[in-house]
Amino acid sequence: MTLLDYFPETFEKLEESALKGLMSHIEAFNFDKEELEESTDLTQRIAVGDHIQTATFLKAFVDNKLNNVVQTSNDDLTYELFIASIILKKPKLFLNNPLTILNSQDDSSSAMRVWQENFNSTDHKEQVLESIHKFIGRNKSMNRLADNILIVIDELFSNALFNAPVDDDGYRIFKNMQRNSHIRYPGSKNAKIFAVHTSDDLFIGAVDPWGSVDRDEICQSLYKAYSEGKVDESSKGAGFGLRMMLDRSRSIYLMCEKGKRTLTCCHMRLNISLKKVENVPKQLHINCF
Amino acid sequence: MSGFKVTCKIDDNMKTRIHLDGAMDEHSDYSSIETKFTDTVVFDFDNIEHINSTGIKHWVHWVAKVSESNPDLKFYFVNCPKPIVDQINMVDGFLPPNSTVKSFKVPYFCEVCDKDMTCTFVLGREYNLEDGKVSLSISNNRCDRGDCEMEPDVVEQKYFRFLK
Repeated sequence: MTLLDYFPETFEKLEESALKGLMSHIEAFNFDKEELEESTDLTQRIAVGDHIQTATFLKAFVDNKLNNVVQTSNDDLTYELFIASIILKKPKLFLNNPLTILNSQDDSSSAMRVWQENFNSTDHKEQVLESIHKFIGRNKSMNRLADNILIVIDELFSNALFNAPVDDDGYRIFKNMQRNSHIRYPGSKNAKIFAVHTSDDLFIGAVDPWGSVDRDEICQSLYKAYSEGKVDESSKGAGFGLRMMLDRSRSIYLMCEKGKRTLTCCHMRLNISLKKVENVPKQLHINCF
Repeated sequence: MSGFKVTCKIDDNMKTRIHLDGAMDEHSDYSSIETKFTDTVVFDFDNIEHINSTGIKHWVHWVAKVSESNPDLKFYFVNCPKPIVDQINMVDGFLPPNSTVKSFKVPYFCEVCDKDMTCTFVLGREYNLEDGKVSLSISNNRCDRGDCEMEPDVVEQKYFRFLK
């Protein structure tokens, strides 16, 4: 069944456009209505459902190659379906214009505040953390989430520096280095870390110049981080850090253009209590192409 | 954000008291801690500002090593802020065997006034542990106005899970 079959009322409200055409024909998988078998291939489908548990959909990311999950219980279903559709069918468009697309639901784009820092070395961490502190400043809605924001920034920074860099053979150059080591990107490459907020939403992300995400490996380690809750010496990948980010977000967007760049972006809702932040069912979108 | 600092002393109750300050991250180093402990070690997390995934790994490895080499040692955790309680609930081994959380912090929020504060829950006051059973009394707090209250700003089943 397509998204249109599942959500006819939602689509009825949308104006006719190429995008509506694109979205309405995307195959969906409904966790609430369909039985999931291990052999089912969900690569080209958007999974939907009401409060799907994170570990449940992550298992489908591992077993069924699912890449997009949208929670129907969230208050912005149309927006989430729109984002999932773009990520699935037009990944390059998303990667070239992530903030324009992610902020497309907010009419108050003029009120957008942007923070951004470039980095290529562990030396830059203090500067990045100081700078985000200033950005959070006295903004009450962000202050309430300050701990969460710092954790996300910290994990994005570490992942971009330690996990992303690869050599010509795809070997991860710094993965086995101690995280307190001093490292610098080879050559003149730089990563970028950013935060953008409007009145109700905050997007925090990083773009690295490597495009080295191993989709299957990252889904496995994220699933393991949720299903086992264990950390050991061997857990040097991004799984546990990614779990810390997903726990604090409503959605994560992970886009990787092989050999070129990776975007990891977290979406948080502002002006809500910490309890609501924790209670919100999680959404995850991955496209490695 | 301040760097990681750890201080160790024998407190008035003749227990080893370890104060942890700043950020538990890739620079959190516990090697300076004297490995001869009294029968109980008190970890005071009051001044912990931040913890990341590497900091969690460092902590879990160190505390497991201490626990393995001192199997009779008791651990008290005091003044645990929310980021620490979150890890206690999430990460296997963050709280070693023979541990008791003596006090922890709970964020409160008033949706009407958009005001927040933090309360400290203390063993024997807000909660009790007897014969493996937990009794917990979660109260709402008065807000500035007479017609509203501050409520715990946590998902109670998740946040208080470690007590069970």
